[in-house]
Amino acid sequence: MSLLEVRDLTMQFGGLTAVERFGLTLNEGDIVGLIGPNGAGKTTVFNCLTGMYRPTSGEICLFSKRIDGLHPHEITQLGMARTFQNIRLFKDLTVFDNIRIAFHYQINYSLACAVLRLPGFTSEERLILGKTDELLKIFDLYDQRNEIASNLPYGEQRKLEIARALAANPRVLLLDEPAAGMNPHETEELTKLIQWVKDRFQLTVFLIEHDMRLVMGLCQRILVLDYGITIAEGTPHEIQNNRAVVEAYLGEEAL
Amino acid sequence: MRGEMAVRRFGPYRQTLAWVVAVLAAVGLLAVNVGVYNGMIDFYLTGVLVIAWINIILAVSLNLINGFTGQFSLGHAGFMAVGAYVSGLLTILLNWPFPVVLIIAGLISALIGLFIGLPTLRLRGDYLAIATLGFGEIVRVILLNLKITGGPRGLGGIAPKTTFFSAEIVALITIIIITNIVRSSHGRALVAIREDEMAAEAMGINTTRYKVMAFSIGAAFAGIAGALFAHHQMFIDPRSFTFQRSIEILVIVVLGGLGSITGSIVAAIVLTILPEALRGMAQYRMVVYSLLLIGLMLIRPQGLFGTKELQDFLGYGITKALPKGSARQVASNNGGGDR
Repeated sequence: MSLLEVRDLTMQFGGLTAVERFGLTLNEGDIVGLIGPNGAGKTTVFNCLTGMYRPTSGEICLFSKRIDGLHPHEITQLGMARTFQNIRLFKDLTVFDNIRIAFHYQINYSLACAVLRLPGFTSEERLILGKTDELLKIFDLYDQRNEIASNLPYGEQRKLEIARALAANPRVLLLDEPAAGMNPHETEELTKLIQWVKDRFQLTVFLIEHDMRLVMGLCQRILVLDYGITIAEGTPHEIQNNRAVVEAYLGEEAL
Repeated sequence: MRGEMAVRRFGPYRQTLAWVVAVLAAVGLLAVNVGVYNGMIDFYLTGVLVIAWINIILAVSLNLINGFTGQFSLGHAGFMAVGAYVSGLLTILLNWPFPVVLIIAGLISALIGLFIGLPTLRLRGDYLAIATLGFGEIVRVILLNLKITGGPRGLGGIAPKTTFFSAEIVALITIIIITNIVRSSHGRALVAIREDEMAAEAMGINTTRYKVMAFSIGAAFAGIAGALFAHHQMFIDPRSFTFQRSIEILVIVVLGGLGSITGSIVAAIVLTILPEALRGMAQYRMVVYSLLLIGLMLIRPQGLFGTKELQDFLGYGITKALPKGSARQVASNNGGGDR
């Protein structure tokens, strides 16, 4: 069964068509990459999928349910979480709190319950505490749990953002340029981490990436976007030898 | 950096110092209560203390909106006016019991907060400030022109039902409620909105709902504070609730620290008593007051307490659930983190 189904997704800003008739099918356990030159519309696709933008036309179905037009928080609650290209952590909060906040929508106690400090509050808070620590340990961030997020090294911040997205309990994970700003060594670590996380949490992953080594090493399938149009789709090997893709990246003369 | 220095200077003694301060504050509070009870504190000073309690309610509730949720509201005087007039009229016309009047004043303010919040909370920063400022002015102009509120002549003859003790009880309840909200997952959702609204939304937090909620709760307590104010002054007119008043409350919140309830309480007490203490300086009083404010903002732009609470200094609170030994680490990290 396909988890995420996108049909004819088009996004226009005024007269500018950022994405045109984009289509995608994500099956359970897939790991699919979206590449393309700068300004090709990759992040726009992400923003449409996660509800940050309302698409001009087209259909997006998550678990066979229409999600275009829903708010971002509703989509997250349905089971699709994301990270951002330019890391959006809660910078002045601790590593621990960054994760803990992502458990918010999974709590059941009401505001009145919190105000009166009823037993439900304590037990659920304790549960979240345990889950947060567990996640921190899995991501090897436990020792930094009391550190302010913005004090972490860049690579750790990326890791924390992925951990935070996982706290929202997704089945589909969208990663927007997870390797941006990383050196080759860090990228290699990240590639392993993504593969491992995907297996550990049984995720379906859709990612945007510029780093070809990461994309080629990780993805089973790759889509190439240029000026909002999908110019190619296929396995890493097919994409590497695709004439249109090379043209889009290097220009016609390069051939 | 300054925070780190403070930690180094007080380092190991900080927790002890905090306990001493906390105990002194508790003893002070007890002494004031005894003093008011057996009349050792005179009528005038008791009046100042009542205003201090009211200002604590106003500051703590505004902090929920401006400090914790990061939504810059300048409409607090407007909600205070709604509460003051609603309660004043209820007492004059119907003579309902005071606690009931307080609750109704709070509920009506909350309802108006809901209506104002739904459209305006789509705005951010400066725009929200101007929209809420507009709301405050609209309330003032309506009160100025309604017949039932007495127009510019004001509303007089409100029974003096606010006592030092009733103001104290309401203020303490306010502090407890807002502290418990802030220190729950709901409160963390508010802080997430302040830190990064888009990320909060992406984490599954219904940001609109939480912003409106914080705004309404803040409005409710402003209304209750207004009701206490009306039954303390016995006479209210629209001039008591101008833009100036909203600014005064905002100054308390900023000075105490956006995001620190402890800070709002301390700043409310200091800024209520300071002008009275400076009364001897006659015409220079406001100059000295302003200079003190400017000086404090230059030395501590994050406010007296930043985002920290008394509990953090005492060594529990956010660290309560952490394993032993990590409390100090949290303290030093917080010290470095308060920019």
